[in-house]
Amino acid sequence: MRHRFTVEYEIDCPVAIAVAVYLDAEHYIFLHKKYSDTYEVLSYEPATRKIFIRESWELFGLRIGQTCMTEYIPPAEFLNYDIEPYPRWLPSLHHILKARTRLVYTEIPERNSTWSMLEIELDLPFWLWPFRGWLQKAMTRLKIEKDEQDIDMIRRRAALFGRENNSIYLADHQFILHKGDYLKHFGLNSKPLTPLA
Amino acid sequence: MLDASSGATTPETIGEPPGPPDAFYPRPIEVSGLRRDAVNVRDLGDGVQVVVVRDRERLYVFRDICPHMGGPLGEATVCKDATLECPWHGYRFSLETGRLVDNPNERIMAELRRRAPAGFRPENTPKYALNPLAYQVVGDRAYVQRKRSGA
Repeated sequence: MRHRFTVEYEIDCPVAIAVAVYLDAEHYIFLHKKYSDTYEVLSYEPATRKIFIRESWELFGLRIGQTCMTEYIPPAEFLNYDIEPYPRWLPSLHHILKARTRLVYTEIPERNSTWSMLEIELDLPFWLWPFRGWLQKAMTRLKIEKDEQDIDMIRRRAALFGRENNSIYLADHQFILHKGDYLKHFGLNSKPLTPLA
Repeated sequence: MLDASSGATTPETIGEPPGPPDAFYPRPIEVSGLRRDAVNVRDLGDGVQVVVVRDRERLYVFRDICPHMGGPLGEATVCKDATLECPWHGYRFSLETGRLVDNPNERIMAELRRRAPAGFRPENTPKYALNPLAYQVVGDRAYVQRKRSGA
């Protein structure tokens, strides 16, 4: 049985900043260490912008986590799918619940701000169907908590360096995921984004 | 008793700044109130916030801004190897010299960095360093100098 829901709100920064923060993988296990302290790249396909990753954390001396395919669709769309538990033998909801997410950032031109829309699709067995509301709440809370950490970082950087300043992400020494695509769409010579209807 | 970072002998009396008042930030740091081997955040006045790390020998005083992306070093971690780890990206800076000594992401992201697309030239990475601030101790107070040490 399929349960779909969305988590939507405005992030007060230009789309170029929101996308840069998402692609700035160096902060994942430091700023968000509360959720995961290890990030491993299992495979990488530059042509399709797919990165298969493992995120894990320690619980009672055991390292547990999940593997996930991540995909970037320029300029501002991010997919997560094929989410599996790690280790595979771990009794986990992942075995019986399949999740896919699609995050899209859209420009709000009048405020030079970002509309963040996360679509989540859950494939549930019938006996988990009564718990879909609880699952939705838990996933929504996790999304908001992690975004709040990012927003704190965005606000501080805006106060220090300027709201639209993405120069550090453009700098040639700075590593971010899919940098060539980012430069193409948000670099100094990029064309303005076309807001979605 | 802590010595002043300048190497001067520590005066025993509590009093005025050891020099022209405008050479120091207005609010001194109460040394006895500092937690050891941990990050202490202090407001020096004039809108300047610093992080102070106290070990057995001395104080290390830095602006509360990571030179990489501006992260809040007041939320940094003091590591066992006498480095300060930025909470945003994990960059580690030597307490002694202020210099960047490790970017753990070079290992974590090694595969991605190795196959990085156009626009990434790690050889151009700047020599990131914290800005150590000189201070002088008078009794239990450390007066932080406005001029950057070594400048």
